[in-house]
Amino acid sequence: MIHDVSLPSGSPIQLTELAEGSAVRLHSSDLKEDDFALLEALGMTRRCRLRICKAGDPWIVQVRETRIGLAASVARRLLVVPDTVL
Amino acid sequence: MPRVALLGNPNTGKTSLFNRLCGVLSKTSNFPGTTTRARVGRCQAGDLAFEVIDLPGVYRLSLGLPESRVCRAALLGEGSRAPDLVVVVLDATNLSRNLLLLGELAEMGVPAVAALNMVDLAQQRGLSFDRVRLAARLGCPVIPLVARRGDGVEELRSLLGARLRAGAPAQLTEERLDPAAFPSPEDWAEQVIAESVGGRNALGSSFDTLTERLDQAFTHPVLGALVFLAVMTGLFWTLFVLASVPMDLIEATFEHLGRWTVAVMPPGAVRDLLVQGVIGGIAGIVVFLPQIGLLFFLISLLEDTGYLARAAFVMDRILCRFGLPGHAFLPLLSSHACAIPGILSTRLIPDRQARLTTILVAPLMSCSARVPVYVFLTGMLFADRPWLAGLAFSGCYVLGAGAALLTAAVTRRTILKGPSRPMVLELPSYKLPSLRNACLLALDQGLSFLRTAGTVIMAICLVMWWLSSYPHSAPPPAATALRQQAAALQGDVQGKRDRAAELTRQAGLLEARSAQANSFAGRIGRTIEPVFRPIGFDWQLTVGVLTSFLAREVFVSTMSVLLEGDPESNLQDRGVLARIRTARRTDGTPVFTPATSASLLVFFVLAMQCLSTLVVTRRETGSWRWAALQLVYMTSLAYGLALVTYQGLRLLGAA
Repeated sequence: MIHDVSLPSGSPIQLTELAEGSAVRLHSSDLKEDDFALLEALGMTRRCRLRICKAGDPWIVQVRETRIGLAASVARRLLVVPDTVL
Repeated sequence: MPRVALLGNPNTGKTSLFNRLCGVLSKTSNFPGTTTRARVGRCQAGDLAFEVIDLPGVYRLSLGLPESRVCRAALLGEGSRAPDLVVVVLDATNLSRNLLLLGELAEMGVPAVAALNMVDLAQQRGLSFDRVRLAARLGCPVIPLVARRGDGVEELRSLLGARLRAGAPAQLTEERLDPAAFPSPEDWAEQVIAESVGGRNALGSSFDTLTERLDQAFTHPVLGALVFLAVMTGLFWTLFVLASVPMDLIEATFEHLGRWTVAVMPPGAVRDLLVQGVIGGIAGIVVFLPQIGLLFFLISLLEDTGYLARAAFVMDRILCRFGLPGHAFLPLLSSHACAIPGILSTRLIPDRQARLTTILVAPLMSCSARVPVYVFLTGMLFADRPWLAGLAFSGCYVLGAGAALLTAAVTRRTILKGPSRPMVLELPSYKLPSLRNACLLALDQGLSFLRTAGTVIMAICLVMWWLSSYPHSAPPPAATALRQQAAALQGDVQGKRDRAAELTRQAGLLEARSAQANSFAGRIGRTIEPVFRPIGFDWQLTVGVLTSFLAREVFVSTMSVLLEGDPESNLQDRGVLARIRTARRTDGTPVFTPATSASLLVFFVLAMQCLSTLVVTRRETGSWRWAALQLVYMTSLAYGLALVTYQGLRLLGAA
């Protein structure tokens, strides 16, 4: 199950600082509420697990079964924490 | 008639299911008070007929996005009757996200049926579904489907019929998991899946590796751009090559029909109306159909494969500098063939502000109707220097595209300013496209164009024909004299017969020129000539510009009538071009100087000389306001730059 894993410790970093293949959890975002709502609708909710499938513009991440393309301007506004559970 | 709505996330195969349920029996209309379009069809389940509405693809009903608002309003019956039943189309390969929509619907108390689509792909990935348990946990019937192939559609149709006949929604059982009882909708969805879907650990197989490799290639800054270039070249090559065959056939058929009508009907106003107004007008509408149908057929194939979502990111890097999203590239490129399918394909752009901007600037791209004018005027400018003519020809395309992008940048910072949606897109699974869907979409778009834009275009064509054909004027004395001379020369001698034919031809030229000059359009041209004089146009060029407002390519034939007199002449006839090039006004000054030709060329690159495009802009934006803005802006821009060109060249002594 995904929802029962608590947020790991460690300082959040920008998604764009990570390499391809990294598995992380979404910590927070400084996107506008409406913009973040779209990400949430795509399944990118706070604390969700995501895997970086492709680094660079566009960034491609996989959240559950959904692959999401993100412009670099969006990716750098997402703060994540590493998740070694995956 | 009972009403069923199809609701689902984008890329869940909702349209495939709609096509399976309704076939070609559908029409496209706007949601009340919006420009969001929906297809409405009729489905038969035994003796019961019901209406099916294909709602826009939406991730969540609670989002503040336009499509979410439209769906919410449609489901609650705001502005129209609420549906009696909602079919929620779920992507079986992505249930955790798709179920959230069903959860929202349950909280609204709307009766639903779950259509579990793409079960074949899910099974290939190792997923298995306990259909009975899934239905019990969701509290609604679940029908597994492969809508693309039609599997399961009959079962769904029968179920819908039975539910609609029964009237009341099914009783909820205690096995149902209530979304309200969970901390979040995501938790509810996970619980439902955990209890009814097996094999989730199998995800991440070789199929996903292929997806990742393709994604790496298609979104790569260099390789992705090359692939995009190749795909677009292929698409437009196919469009030009394949569409030209039926277009030529349509033109030839209507030409033949016109000649036949002339042959069987007595001369007069009714014949003129039928041949030049009605047949000419219908031909001018139907000729667009092959391009529109084929473009949407090809776009549908590309969209089905999943490639277009990747391509949008490639172009976003360039277009975002001008305030446009990557989705705008295809409409802008399509506009090089014709602005009409280009504007219609802006439906791919999710952001309304960006879509409106793209619609406004699309006609600045050089369409194929401008080509005859470019050939004509660059030939005028550089008669003996073909390489310079070629350069000027290319320059026209650059000028049009540059003006479009700069206009977009200014528009997005002024009248349509506002935050752009961040480029966030779901990248759907790669899959084989559906030919059936592509054909149905092409047919739907073609019929929709004929129904809405076609009728207005036809009416405007008739008005323009009347303005340029009436009132009939008496033949000029010189023409009458020539005909009398020709009549006197009739006889058995070959030389005399040739001379008589030549005199008759010349009389015809004079009569055509006189009719054009004395028509309402000709009179209007003379009246407004002072407006165009600063950019170098005399009354004849002004009439050419006015009549070509119907369609740009008309300019060349109008010029050949006014300056040379023969409407049948064409540019392959070098003698005609030479005569037009050296044509002089009654005061002996040349009609075409280098400054005039350059000014005309700039004017035609930038001016909105296409009534059909204006009608389509009105239809797609839902308001004449945008069409009027497009007309005024493009005409002003064209006039301003033509003025700078003409006056600048005049100062340099080129006039």
